[in-house]
Amino acid sequence: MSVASTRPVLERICDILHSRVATLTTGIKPATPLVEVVRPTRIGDFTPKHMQVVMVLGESTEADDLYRPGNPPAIAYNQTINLYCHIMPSEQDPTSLDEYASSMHADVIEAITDAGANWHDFGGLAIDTQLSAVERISSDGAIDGIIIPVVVTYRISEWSPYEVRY
Amino acid sequence: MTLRDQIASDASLVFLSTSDFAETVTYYPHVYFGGSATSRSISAVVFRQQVATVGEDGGEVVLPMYEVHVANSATTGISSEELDTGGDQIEFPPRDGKDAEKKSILHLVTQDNGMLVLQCR
Repeated sequence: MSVASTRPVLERICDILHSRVATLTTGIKPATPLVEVVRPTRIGDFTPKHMQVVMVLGESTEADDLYRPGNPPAIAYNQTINLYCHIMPSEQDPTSLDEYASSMHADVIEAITDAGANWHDFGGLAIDTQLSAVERISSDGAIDGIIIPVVVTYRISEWSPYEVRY
Repeated sequence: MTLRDQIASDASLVFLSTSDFAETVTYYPHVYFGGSATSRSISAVVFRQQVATVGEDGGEVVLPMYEVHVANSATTGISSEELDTGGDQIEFPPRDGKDAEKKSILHLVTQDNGMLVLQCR
């Protein structure tokens, strides 16, 4: 069984992930009043802000134990999607960066998983999703925050990344 | 006038003259809770570096960097006392001829009595 679309499977997964995280811009989590979720363009086209999430594709690896035979065969990937959560409060703000980081981490995770028991399959587009250990953004560039790596495992037709394979 | 005064004066009158190298930009201080947004026009020399990257974890993205030189003044520039790198922004064209965009002030690179050098992105 296969399902094709006009957008690649990975992009459709990214769209869903983006919209789930963007629910935090509505103010549903008082500790994480997200201002925006950004997917950078070629020249950046955004300015770092407090409570901003920048979504960037990271490493992709083959999940060869999930391959399926056929013609064409079905191949699977583990795609990391990094969520750069920027934490840049006012210099007058007495709240610790760690507190902001913990709250933002918790609220972003809840936003991603708040889609019922099958949150991990992104509407049938993915096989599984893992939320990896959070990392701290190096503040060399004066941007503080955390990175939440979301590792999505999905399977597609070898001949067409538009086509989901089950 | 002391040398110190002369240097501070030259910062505004010479280095930040819009007839020479400077341009007019708009400074937007951080808006604190319950406060209202204010802005003011100031003179600045903007060095535009279009290719600069952030992120080292396989998710590197281009985010142009700008070095902005302003007077250390609460009226003609930005005073080091009022500067807040957690929300202050400066609006200027990211490229000559383009529309102005707000860029966050991320870092105070260097400072003295006359001028501040700020990193914006």
